[in-house]
Amino acid sequence: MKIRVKLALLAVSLCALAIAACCTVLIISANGNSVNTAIDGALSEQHLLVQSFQSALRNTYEDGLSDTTQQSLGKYLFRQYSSGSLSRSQYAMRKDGEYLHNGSELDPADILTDAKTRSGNGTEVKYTIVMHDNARHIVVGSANTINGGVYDIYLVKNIEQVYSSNASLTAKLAAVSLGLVLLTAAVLAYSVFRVLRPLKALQGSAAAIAHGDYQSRIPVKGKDEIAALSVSFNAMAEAVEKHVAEINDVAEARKLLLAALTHELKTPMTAIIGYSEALMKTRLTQEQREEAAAYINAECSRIERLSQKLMQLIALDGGSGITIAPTPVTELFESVEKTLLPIAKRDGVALDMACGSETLSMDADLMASVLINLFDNARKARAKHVHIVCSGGLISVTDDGCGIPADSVKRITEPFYMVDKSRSRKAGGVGLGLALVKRIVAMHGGKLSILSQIELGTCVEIELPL
Amino acid sequence: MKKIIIALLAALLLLTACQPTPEAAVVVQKDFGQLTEKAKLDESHVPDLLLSESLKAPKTLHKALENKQGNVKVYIEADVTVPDAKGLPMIRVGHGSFTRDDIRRFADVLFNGAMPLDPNNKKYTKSMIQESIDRLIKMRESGDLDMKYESVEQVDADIAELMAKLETAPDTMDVAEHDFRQEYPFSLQATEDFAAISNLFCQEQVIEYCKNLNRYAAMSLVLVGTPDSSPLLNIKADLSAETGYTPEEAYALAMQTADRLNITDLACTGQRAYFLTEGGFGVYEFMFTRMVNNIPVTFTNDIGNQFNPNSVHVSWEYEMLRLFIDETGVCYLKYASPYAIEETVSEQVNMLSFDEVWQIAELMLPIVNDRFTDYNITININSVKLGFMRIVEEGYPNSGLLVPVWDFMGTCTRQHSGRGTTNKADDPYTSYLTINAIDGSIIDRALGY
Repeated sequence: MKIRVKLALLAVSLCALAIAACCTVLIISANGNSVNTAIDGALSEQHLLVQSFQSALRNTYEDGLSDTTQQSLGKYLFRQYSSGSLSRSQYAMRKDGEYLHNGSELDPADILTDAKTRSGNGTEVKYTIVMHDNARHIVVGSANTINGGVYDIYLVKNIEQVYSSNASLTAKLAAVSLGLVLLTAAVLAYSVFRVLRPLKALQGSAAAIAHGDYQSRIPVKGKDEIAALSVSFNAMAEAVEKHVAEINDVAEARKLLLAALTHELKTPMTAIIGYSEALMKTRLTQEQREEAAAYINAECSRIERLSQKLMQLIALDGGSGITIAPTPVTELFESVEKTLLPIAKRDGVALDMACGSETLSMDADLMASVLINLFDNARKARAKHVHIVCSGGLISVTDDGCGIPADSVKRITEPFYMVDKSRSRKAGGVGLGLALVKRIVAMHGGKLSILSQIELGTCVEIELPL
Repeated sequence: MKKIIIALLAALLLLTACQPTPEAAVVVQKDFGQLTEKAKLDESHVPDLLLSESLKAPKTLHKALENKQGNVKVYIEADVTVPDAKGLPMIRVGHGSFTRDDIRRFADVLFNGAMPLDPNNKKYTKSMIQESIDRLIKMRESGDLDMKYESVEQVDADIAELMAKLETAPDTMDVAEHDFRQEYPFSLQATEDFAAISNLFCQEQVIEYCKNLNRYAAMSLVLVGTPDSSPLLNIKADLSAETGYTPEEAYALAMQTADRLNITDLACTGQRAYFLTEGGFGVYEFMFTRMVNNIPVTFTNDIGNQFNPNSVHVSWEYEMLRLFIDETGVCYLKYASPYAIEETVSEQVNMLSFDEVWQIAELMLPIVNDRFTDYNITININSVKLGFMRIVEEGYPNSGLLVPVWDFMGTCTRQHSGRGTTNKADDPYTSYLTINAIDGSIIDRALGY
């Protein structure tokens, strides 16, 4: 069952329950009150009759009257006062257990045998409600001692009208309640539908995203929870789109890397296979054999270097292997200088390193690798002077090598991208150095910028966060 | 979710208010049942004594009574009349009705053989209409308008209407005979003399005859209510000069008429004579009531049609035939509410002794007649009579009992203590106390119970 139906049904049910409970309480209360009012009225009427009769009988009674005369007097007075009532009640009277008058069709004395009792005004009155001739009647009676005789005075009154009125009220309340419930149901259903309509849009958008439409968004209206959900959904969609794009980029990059790797491997493998086949199948001179072996060795070394750098790059891509800690730059520079000086001396490159007393948050080994790679690139670019300077959070590596063409600057950090492949391979390059540098700088949260001019040299700046 | 909805609906049903079921009541024997029980003869009854002996009734009664407040005084100087019988029965009666043959017989006797006509089918003749026009013109000129007219313009309007009818009126009456089979109520007329149209009004329980419709209005004083003396009504014993009938002759005519009408179950139980000063004529009235074992139902002025608005009781008039004789003979007759004898509940009922009745009367006469606290009431009882009366049970007007009752009858004078005005009720047929001879209960003749 749909949530809006569930919600609407639940709300309607609760409303119906509340309305029914209220109406029931009202009806029970009203019914009870009206019946009690009728009972009270009947009791009052009977009491008034008793009082009137009692007073009249006492005023007219004389001592020494025979039973017949007393009965005659009692009957006459009773009829006088009971016929004066405007309520259309019926009356009965017994004297000393014998009915003198019974204007009803009932035997009140018998009916009231086990009836409820109410005490008041010094007398005990019995009353009950009975069904007679398809109508409810209240029977009230009391025993009254007057002038030595016991007069039982009864009132019988049709109170069906009270119950009819109650039934009518109940029917009206039920009709009104039903109308209210239906109205409430309609309003609730409409309201729930309106409130939850954005969820449908949400559903649609989610489905669209699931089907690859990562740009699907839902309109945000209002400031309620649904609007907040819409905002969150849109943010999620945004993030999903971005991550999907990143994943796609990474996948593309890896695809390109794979393709480049395949290509990079293919070249040396072809050469290795060629030279090895020549060694195996062709009669070569010693010099030729030594040349082939040297070439095979050089290419294998290159493949080894390629695999090492690739492993390093993959490790960095996995996010592992980086430990950032505050490290004095002087320590870094001292370590790097120790590694680079022999190479610089060997290749006739003037290395100049300068820094202050800065302490930067970095992985010292990786940053050393960065500086070494940049020096290596400068060396391969036939630089004669390499300056490595650190000032504040900015480390710059400047050389006076051949420079990078402007249209290659953007691609220079792509894996396996080489401006001059032959020159680079000859110099032992595999095209992964700057990709590594870029990755390491990115892992430090830093910024890498390359400025270069042909024939003038290149300046690589690394800005690390302080 | 379904479970929640079902649970809620169940709760709704449980919350519905339930009414307790009252018990059924038991219908019991009512007042007539008790009366019947009391009416059964007991061991003390002596079967062969006359009532006057068994009831130990005196021949006369002389007493003076007064209520506690002193404003009601009752003087009894009365003959005590007891039927000459050894016992009295109790008869159950119901509503009777007149048959078509009864009506035909009444019409035949009262119209003196003239053909009864259906007034709905008649056309007044030119002479009849002219007579009406002449009368209206005379009335208009005299200025003494009938009560029917509030202004001269109304008289003129009637004259104009009659003048229009005169043009197309027939010279002779052309009417259809009545076949007595019309649905009730209907009227019969039997004269071509417009000045004296006789009308017989017929209903299932009423036959009313008036010889002269013009005189009917003038007789209203004596036809409705108790005919007490007033400037317009003189109660007289002898109207020989006014009517041409002595009281005995009038009585004889009344008996003869009753005999011709075959009214055998009723007997003349009262008579009066009035002179209506406004109309300038006198009438004898003879009242007939039912006989039970040759003992009459006591005639009183109470008709028994008082309506009690606080009760569901529907009134039932007493059976009565009133016959009026003027100078033309029988001028008015009304026979209403004939009884249908259903069963003899008891051939002979047990009755209270006169002493017991008197003890009740002694106490109740001042009480029953103390209805007007602003009045000084003086009642003169001149007749104490044991007779029959039809009683009913309150709320059950379809069946009654003819039971023996004691009536204390006489005249009354009421004087307003503040204004000093006096009015007299001097008709002798008013009962100031009616006591059920079986159980001593006081009966209100106006209500019938």
